[in-house]
Amino acid sequence: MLANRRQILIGGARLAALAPFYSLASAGGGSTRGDRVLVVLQLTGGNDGLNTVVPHRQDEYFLLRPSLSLARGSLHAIDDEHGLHPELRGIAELFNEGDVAVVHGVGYPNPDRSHFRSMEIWHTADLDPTPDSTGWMGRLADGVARRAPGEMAALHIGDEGLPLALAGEDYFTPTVRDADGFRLAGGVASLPGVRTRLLEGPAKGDVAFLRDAARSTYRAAARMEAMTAARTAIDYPGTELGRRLRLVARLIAGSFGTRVFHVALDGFDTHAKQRLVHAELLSTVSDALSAFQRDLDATGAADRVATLVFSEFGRRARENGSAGTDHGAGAPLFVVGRGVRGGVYGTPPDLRRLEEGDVPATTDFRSVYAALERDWMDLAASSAAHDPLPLIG
Amino acid sequence: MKGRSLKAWRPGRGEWNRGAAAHLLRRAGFGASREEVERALEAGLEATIDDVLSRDEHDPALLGGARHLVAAGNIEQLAAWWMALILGGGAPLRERVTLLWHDHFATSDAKVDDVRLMYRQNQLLREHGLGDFRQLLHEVARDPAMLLWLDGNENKRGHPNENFAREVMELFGLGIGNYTERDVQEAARALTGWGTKGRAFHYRPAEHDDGTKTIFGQTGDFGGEEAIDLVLAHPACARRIAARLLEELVAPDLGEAAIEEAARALVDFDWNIARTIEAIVRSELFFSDRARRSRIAGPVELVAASVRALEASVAPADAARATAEMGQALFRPPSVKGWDGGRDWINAGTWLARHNHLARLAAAKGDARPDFARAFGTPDAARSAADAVLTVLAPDGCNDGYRDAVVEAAESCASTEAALVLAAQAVLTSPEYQLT
Amino acid sequence: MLDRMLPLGALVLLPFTARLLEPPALAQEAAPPVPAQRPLATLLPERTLVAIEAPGLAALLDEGLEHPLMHALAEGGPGQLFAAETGSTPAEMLAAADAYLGQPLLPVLAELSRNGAALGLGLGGGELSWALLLHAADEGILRASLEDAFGRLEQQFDAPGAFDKPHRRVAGADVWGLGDDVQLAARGALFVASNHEATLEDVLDLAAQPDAKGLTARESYRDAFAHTASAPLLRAWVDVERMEMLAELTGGGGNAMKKLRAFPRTPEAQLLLGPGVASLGTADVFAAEVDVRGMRLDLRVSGIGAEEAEPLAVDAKRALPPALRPHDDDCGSLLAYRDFAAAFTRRAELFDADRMPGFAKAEADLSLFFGGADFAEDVLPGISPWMRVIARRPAYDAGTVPEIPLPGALALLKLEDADTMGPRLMSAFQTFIGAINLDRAQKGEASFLLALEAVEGVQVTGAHLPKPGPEDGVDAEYNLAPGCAVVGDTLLLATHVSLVRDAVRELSAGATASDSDPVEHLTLDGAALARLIEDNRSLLVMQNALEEGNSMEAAEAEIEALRMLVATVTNARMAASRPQPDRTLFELSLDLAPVDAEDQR
Repeated sequence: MLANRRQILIGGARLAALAPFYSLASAGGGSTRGDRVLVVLQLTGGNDGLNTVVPHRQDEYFLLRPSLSLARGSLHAIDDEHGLHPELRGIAELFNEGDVAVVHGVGYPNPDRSHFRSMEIWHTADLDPTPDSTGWMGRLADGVARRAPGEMAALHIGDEGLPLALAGEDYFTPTVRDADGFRLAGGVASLPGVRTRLLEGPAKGDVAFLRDAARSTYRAAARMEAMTAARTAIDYPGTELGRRLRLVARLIAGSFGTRVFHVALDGFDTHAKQRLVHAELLSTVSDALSAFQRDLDATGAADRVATLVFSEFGRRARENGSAGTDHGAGAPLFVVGRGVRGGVYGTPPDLRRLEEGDVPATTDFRSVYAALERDWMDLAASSAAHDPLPLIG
Repeated sequence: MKGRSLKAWRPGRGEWNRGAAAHLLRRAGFGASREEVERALEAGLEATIDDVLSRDEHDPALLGGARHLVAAGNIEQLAAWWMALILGGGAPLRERVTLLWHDHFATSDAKVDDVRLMYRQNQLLREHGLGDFRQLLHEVARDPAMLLWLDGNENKRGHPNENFAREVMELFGLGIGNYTERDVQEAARALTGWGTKGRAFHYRPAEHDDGTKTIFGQTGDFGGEEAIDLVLAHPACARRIAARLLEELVAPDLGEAAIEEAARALVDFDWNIARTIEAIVRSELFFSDRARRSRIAGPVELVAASVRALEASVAPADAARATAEMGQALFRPPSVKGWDGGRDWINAGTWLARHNHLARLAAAKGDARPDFARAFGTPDAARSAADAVLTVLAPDGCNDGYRDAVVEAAESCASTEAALVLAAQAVLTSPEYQLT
Repeated sequence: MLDRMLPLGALVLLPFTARLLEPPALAQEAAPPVPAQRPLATLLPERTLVAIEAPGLAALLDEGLEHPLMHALAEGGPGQLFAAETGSTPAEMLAAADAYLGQPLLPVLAELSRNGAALGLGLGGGELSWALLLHAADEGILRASLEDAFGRLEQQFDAPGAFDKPHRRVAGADVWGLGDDVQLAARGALFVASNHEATLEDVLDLAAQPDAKGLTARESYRDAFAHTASAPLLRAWVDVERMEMLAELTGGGGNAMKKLRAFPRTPEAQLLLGPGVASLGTADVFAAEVDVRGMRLDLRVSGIGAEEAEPLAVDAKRALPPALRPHDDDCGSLLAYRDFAAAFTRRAELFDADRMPGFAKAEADLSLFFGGADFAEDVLPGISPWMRVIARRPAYDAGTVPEIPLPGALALLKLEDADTMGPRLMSAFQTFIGAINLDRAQKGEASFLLALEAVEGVQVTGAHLPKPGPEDGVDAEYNLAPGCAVVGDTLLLATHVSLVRDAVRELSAGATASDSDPVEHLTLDGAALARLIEDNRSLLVMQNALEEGNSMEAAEAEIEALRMLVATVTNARMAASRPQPDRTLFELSLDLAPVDAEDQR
């Protein structure tokens, strides 16, 4: 890695003039805002907030949820009145270490209960998104790419289509299915040699542009291959989410250069018999995230990574006739990281004051975004109208 | 400046060469094999242009085959079918303009979500793509896929939806700066009542606003047809379409004078697209250095030209998947603006896709079967193998450094077969080859 | 090219050098002939892992392509497919071989295997070793054939005299070496070839001992074929248990083998493949027989030592749904036993913990349709694990014949408590249609219309899409016009309500067809399947061209060959049963159409 960097620097004087694709600025250690990373873990389907952060002091909770309520004693307390779901063991540990911000009642006014629409709103940070709306992470990626051209500013890890959140103006976010998803293929053994030679010599216009693109792509593919091959000190759970977060941790540890990651876990649309399903989903999230965080600790990258865990909406306070819950509105979310000011934020749900049967949104999601966009990533916030929550610092 | 004119090109001695012939066959079609380029050189410029303009015969079984596919409702199969028409080479210019109009009137199945309608629109573009542009625009305006795409069914008296009216001015007909917001609103009113029923165009008189409208300063109780006629009558319309043709066939950013000239040609030819194209491809401008290798090839152009040059047999479905990975999924343009094109074709993911697909094609991986003997002849040594590859894949020539690199790589190979594969991979994945 | 020549060159040169090193004169003591009736299994070493014998081969070869079944294979679909791939038909290939040999190939092969043919596979020196045995009609024909073959080899590699004399003698047999790769031996009318010297010598030693038992000393071998009477065309015996043991010793393959062997014991496999087929995979020994009688080809595979697929095994006491009379439009039928109720109720002990969320999700989702009733506890146990599924071309209403017509499926299930279960399932059906409609409405698609009707006094619930407009085309979704009814204690559920109507009429008339053995089986009607291909020919051709990169003509030819291949099989039947406590029997019968009856297109 060092040798690579030196080579780039030596050739830099010449390359810098010709090659806007190369980043020369990312050298240097410590957590500066220039190398902070944002990971977004999306819980697709509408996570049941009330059974994630449980308001166990309110009798209404047990009345509204005769079959789904969780026993007080099984919860992991975050304050006197609230406890985390029993399966969120790993997240509770991180909370106790001061690395988890729990934000109550996050959402937006006039909640839309369509999965699709609500996700669009969260993704664009626009309450009335149009086909031209860009995604909030795409805008971050544009900002990162402008500062460090040539790096892969953002990556989407998964096998679903590119989330709208990652649609930017200029930077196009690649999708990587898994550790093998970004690899040079098909060439015969001696191709790399001649390929490199054909990128040398003077060039201008489109040819110069294409050479830069080719060089940075080959470099990224080689680095990703090397990084994902490295062993980890931490055992990850054998889940898909575990494998994906492992890939993210590898790329961060190897200073791949990507600063915005999107990972999703589907299945939170629990309309019926949700107890077991929800428990399993939350343990998948907690175990994978906990391993991820330990891995970042082990590689010394923990200071510069923050992870947002969100869902497009919460679920109805009252359970339905099928021992499940229907689409709701406001819900708690987590921001996890060593650089995050752990604690409890926002107004806790008051089950005596539901709106149309839902926990209302008391904190606008854009004030969470603003904290991550402005205070964490040092880039422009999606909305100036919403002050950032003091989650960072 | 030399050559910037639509006046007919009279090639001097040696100017009608491999580079010129390959350029013509790339731009007015989807590229050519060694044999086709050599045939063109032998036939001469005039005969070759005549052939380009008149070759218009698809395999009927293939052309008609889509009828059976659409019932299956899989848009990727329809994309594979179109790819088969492009690769089949039965009507290269017709497919070239069909792709151009698909980009121009960009409609995506992502919203339309109806393979039959996407197919009908594709057939419409194919049928009228070389004909009268005025008719093409009228047909597109009534096309059910377009109506669904731009919310025709929502455009009702009292609640006009401006989506189509805006795009017919901003993108399809005039371009920004040639109309006012008021023109858009009034045209939307004129188009109220145009919608679909089942899969057919359906006019609902009850939903049509039959009041008086003022569009581009003209006032009347216009209907949809009249609104579109007014767009066509606007002087900016011919310029926009001419600019579009020049960009696709010649080069981007040619300047106002060339556009004016082409626009005049379009109007003079009574809006006939084929005749306008003929004027363009016969011109000095078309063959000028300004035009050669002047833009980054789109994925469909790139894949089709590579398959033809390697005389390869490939599964059209694979080719269509490859172009999608490179950022051009047929029937799924990213927005009504179509594909941005140019440098926006390129990012790390799409470069990787270009590299991997072309390297695999030359190495006969997967279902791809290049025919090297037909593509490059049977060179007897590594150096002549490299020369053969460069002649076919870089017909405009290349600089010495480039040539030396390819030749030396070929000479490092154990056999001439291996030399052909390596040289082809090296050229296909090189930045220079991405230019068309 | 050159490196491919080398081993062949070595093949010829090696015997030469061997001859130079060894004394040329070998003692020629007369070896007692191997009796014609002696089973070839007695000549295979006891350690053999796989033995294939062909007692009926010579008889089949005698008839050659005149045999009606062989004729059908060669001239019908399989032969067409073969021709499409290789460029010549089997008959042409055979004629070419005859011309090359200067005599007809099949009769010579018949004489060479007159008294049996066998192939044994085993481990030799850590590698796969094989031994091929042919017991010819007499020594003369064997020697003549060998001489002819040797002559050709000598000529081809320009090494006259290389095979004039045997290279060595073992246990009274002449042995020739073809390099290191293969050794050939002749002893009287017996011909042996092997890639492994020790194996070859073992076979020859056994041949020299008139009373040697060879593989037949193994009890599991004797046991396997104890009940078979006539000489089948082929007989195969596979020692899975010992293969597993050996694989474990060799390490690498052991794990894969272990996994493969463990899979049939999992409840997942039992639910997927059915208890019968799954239990076959647990056998210690496979004994298979292939027989040809007229136009029928039978394959019987016995899994000896196969375990019962507890606890999802077939319970003979559970009620069978009634059978329907065969119908011209039937493509096939299935009688299967899947005890989902047991799988659900005993999931904690049967499945891994990481399957539990999947179960919980499935249960939760499915319970939605049963208005609060618990799917696992209240619904599943009320349905007998036996299910009958019939695939039949349905009748369509005018104007709704799909452009891609697919066969419909009708399921017949026996209800344990029909009074409760009947209404519950009928209303679940309606709820299900409602849920589909909700989803379709969100996508702006037309809803399914529910229709209730009485057929023979039985209420039939159906759902169908509205008739498409004249320009709309008939999409593939018109293959779905589902229906549901309960007749007595039988639940009828079909992709097309017309199939339900027909079944209600038939069941109400009280006459049920005979097929009522509690044996899992699947039958397929080749002619009906061929019609299905015919109905969708244009689509299949197009898809073939686009996905495989074939030209339209090549795609046409491939689909036509496929159609003919399917049409060759008039009837296929597969069944799995447990005739004895320690064995599972899998039977496959194919009835082939005589090729002349086949419509030659």
